[in-house]
Amino acid sequence: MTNQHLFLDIHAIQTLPPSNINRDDTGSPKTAQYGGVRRARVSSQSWKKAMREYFHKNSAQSNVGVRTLEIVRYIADKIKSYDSSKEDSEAMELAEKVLNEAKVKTKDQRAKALFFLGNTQAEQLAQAAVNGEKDKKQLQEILRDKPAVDIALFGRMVADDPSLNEDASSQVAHAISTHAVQTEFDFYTAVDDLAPEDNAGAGMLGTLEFNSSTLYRYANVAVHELLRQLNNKETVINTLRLFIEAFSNSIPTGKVNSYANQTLPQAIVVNLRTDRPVNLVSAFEEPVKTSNGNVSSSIKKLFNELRKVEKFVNEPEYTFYLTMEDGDNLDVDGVNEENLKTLLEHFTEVTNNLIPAEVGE
Amino acid sequence: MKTLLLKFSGPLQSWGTSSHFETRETDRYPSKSAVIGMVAASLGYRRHEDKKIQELNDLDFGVRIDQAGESLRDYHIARKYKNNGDIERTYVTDRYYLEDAIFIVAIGHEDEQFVEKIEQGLKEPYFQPFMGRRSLPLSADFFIESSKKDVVESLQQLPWQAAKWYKKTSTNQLTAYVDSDLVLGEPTQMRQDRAKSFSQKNRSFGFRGEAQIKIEIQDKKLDKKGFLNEHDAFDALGG
Repeated sequence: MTNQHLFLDIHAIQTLPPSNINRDDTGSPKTAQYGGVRRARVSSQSWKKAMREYFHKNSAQSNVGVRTLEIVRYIADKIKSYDSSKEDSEAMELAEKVLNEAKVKTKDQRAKALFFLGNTQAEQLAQAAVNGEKDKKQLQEILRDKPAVDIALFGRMVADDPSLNEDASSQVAHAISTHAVQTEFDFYTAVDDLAPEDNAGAGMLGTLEFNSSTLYRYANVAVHELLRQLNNKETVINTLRLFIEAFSNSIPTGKVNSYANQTLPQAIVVNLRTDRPVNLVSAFEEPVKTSNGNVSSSIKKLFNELRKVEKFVNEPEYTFYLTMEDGDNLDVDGVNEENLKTLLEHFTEVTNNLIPAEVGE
Repeated sequence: MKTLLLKFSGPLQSWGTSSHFETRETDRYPSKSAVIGMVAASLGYRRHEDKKIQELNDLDFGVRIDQAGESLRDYHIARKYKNNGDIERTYVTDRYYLEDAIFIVAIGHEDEQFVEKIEQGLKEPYFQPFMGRRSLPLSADFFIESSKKDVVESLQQLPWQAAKWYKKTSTNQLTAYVDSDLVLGEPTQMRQDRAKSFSQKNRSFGFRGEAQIKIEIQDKKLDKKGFLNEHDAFDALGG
């Protein structure tokens, strides 16, 4: 990929009912001023945490690696696929040995702490075990060389050992509402069920703060850098698919039991660009004002902005979008997808042709 | 001489030059070292490439405050876990941001090819550029123009880039901070803002001199006192 950059941009419009998914030390929902008015805000850290949790839960089935105590079993299965003559117990022993030689501690054929192993790392370790590789340095290199996919995507900071720091290949922006909001206070009382009948007071009283918002959310991935980090095309594509899925389906859990604000985006746009990542928050600098709900106007504004920014940047290589609006009314070049599943299938086809098999020099 | 004019705008920005540990401050306007970091990232320089990064200090630098923005404290926690998954401790790391601000940044150099390389890098970056923190992407219209004028002249001549609502509440005399060797006899302050190393192991910054200048913006819609000439009552109501 000589000088060939590829950026994945993902935008979403998502509405939240009264809720407080991301709050400060005083319990107020986070906000930011933009375009001269106050907006609801969900910090990037908050949504990234939700996305990482989605990764941990779904990475195995998406074949991007696993976070598990059962790393011995994971490698043993790979050993058996390389050498079908191996008995199960023999493969388990071999797997444990190769891990121990790479200085990963195990106890009763399990890791001592949750361990993230990428698919490529596991395959290389299994291969090394079958070949009888004993060089400690080489085995450790397999573990160190290619960071786990979530670390490659979201970065890692280890204060005690900066050499383990990894710069993230993704960028997740703070989500802000497309319109002005005011935080409201919900006064509540809780009645004491066993209080005497002539008792007029409540058992306790308090307030909860909340607001409702239609959010603009944005994230991107420098695909060329992710490929350099992971150095495996298939893993990169699976990781990007999972990233899109996690961006779309995750939600921070703050106060979710109080408000049940389990929504999904009303619109997603995925762009692949070879020039630069493009954030479309400027569409909402002038806040949406409507007496008829904010979602529809927000979606229209987002798509208009997509066209407007072409004064400054190139047209995207590919655009996939998914919306609850009638897609035909939106003036966009791109594939109007039926659902997230077909979007991901098309995305896989396209990236398979766009991403080179190996990192160029 | 070639100068690039960039617009930094968006909901949030953060330009810390003296933050350490749990409190992450922001200055009131962008730092040169942050812009150098942005250029270096765009060109695909890696953190340990000190020599290539230090060369970027040679750029002439100036920043004009077009829309001052408000300060925002963001409550933020980070958890450290023990190996067995238990929480070891929780750090409260307050982060400060500027919200709703607009700045014009000018970077220039005698060597036009050097500036053209940077322009190309910014338009087609390797790493994603951001405004002080990774979560604060640049806007789509951040690149204004490249000119043959020097940094100070470019900042003096560019029209005011603030939002309409802001212009009404502010005078059209803008403040700019430029490298102190670009102007003579202006008040100068030292700022710990000379990029030496962005390495994870040894980030370090030296000092650079910065002079404050005032710029009168000629904006047809404003009279001498900085008020709008046109009276628009409906606009004032937000209609």
